[in-house]
Amino acid sequence: MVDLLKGIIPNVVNKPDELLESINQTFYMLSVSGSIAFVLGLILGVVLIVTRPNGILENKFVFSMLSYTINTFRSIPFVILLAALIPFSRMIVGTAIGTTGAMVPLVVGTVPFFSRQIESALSSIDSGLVEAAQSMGSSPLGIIFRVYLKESIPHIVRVTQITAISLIGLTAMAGAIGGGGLGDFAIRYGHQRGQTDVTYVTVLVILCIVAFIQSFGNLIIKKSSH
Amino acid sequence: MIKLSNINKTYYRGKNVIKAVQNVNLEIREGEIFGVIGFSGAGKSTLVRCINLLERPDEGGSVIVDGVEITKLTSKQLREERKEISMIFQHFNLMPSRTVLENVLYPLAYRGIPKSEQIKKAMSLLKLVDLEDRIENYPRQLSGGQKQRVAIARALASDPKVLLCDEATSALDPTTTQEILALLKKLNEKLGITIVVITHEMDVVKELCHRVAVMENGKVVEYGDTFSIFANPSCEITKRFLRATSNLSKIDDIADKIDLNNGEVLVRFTYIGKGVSEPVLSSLTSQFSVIVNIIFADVTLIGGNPIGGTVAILSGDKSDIEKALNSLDSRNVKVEVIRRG
Repeated sequence: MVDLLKGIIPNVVNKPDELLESINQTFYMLSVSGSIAFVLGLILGVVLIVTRPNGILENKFVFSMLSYTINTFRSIPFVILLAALIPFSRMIVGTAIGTTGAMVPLVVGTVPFFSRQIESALSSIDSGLVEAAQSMGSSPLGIIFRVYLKESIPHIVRVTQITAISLIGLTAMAGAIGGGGLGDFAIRYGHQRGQTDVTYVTVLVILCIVAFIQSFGNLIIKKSSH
Repeated sequence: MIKLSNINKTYYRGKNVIKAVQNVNLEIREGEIFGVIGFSGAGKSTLVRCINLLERPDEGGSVIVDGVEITKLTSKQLREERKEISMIFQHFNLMPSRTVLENVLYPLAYRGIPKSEQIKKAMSLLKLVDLEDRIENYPRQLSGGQKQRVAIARALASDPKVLLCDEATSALDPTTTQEILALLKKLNEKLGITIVVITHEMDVVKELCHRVAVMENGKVVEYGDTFSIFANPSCEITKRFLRATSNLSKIDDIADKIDLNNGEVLVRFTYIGKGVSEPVLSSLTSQFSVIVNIIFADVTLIGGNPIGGTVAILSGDKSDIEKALNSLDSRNVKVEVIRRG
């Protein structure tokens, strides 16, 4: 078996520790920056929904400020964001390189996209439900948690899947600033040293991660849709 | 119970100013079923939303519900007060991710009531609307009528004094509509709850409402006891609603085609007072020897009293016919001569 693998993917078999290490780094970046981005994006998405025109806490100023900021950040390509945020990363996490240094641009690159996704998920809630909740005496906070968030769980899970998968793409790019992870692994060996098998194996591993996110999300969607 | 004074609601859409409700003053009595009828766009939905302040009326308007001037409350006090004023909707607005039971529990949660008490209360309400065997179902699995009954149970959970119904039967078929109307009537009689019904369906008003306000272009054009309003409508809009349930006016379309012999008169009798019934016509024959040939008749009950009338050809001696017609004028029957032969 080992001999067979040595025949097909020789350059991967001779550095299993590095492969595991980069998978580990990818998971680390994905989980930490993903969790932070999830919470921030959820909050901003909710703020967008409640402050929009005719929202339950309509506030033109907050809505348009937030909306413009999100659009600005969304229009910056991620590679440029990586470079541009170096000083900011140093300020926040103390370093601009390595896996930890990559966290800040990953979060900043994901949150605007995710908050727009959340906004669209929450705007699928029938305004009649909000009106019904208001007529039953629910407070704005009650409406956010008991109507907007509770009633759109399947939507939220679906947009989280999409965002998580695009985040994997970003973590690969973060390898460019020494962020490590599978992207870095594939570039260093597969691209720069011509070890094509490394590239293929990396793709396969990423494919597995994507498949896992998809099926796990689908399971929650199935459980929460009625 | 509810007193609306000087209610205006204006929307500004860019340069357009839309006056959805204009200078409405209404008083709804405790324990009555009050109807607001009008075609779509008349402003009735906006008006009813001014009662629980889902829409806030323009400056200067006041809404008093059960002695509380709710237009003066803080938002926290208003949320408390809204528990006294429940609402049901045309499209039911049930929470799709919650079961029937969970939907009814919604207004009971976070109010310091023990969970077992909440469930007991919700179950008794579901029993009242006859759905205790569907508690585990999701709204998607229910028919329209069942959904509305869940919505009614949910609306009653906070023991409200007022129930607002916004086109509550408009999305339902005629049989189911009757079912929901019967349920509302039962709740009104059993719990003494004041009900405000918004509708464009004449049937709903006819079956249910003690008093009615007719709305057009944001204004209340007629307002009063349901029977009197429809027995003697003064506004064109009210007449149009009446025509929707009565076929009596169709005679105008066919009047020319009816052959009349010399001396015969084509007449329309309309009942405008309570307690009028068919014998008035047979008395024409017995008292005045006028022969009454009924072309058609259409009578509908409003609040248990007949409204409608008869179109007939009268034949006989000319002076007898005149005497007969004059006698009816004093008996709460409106007489219109359509054509003379």
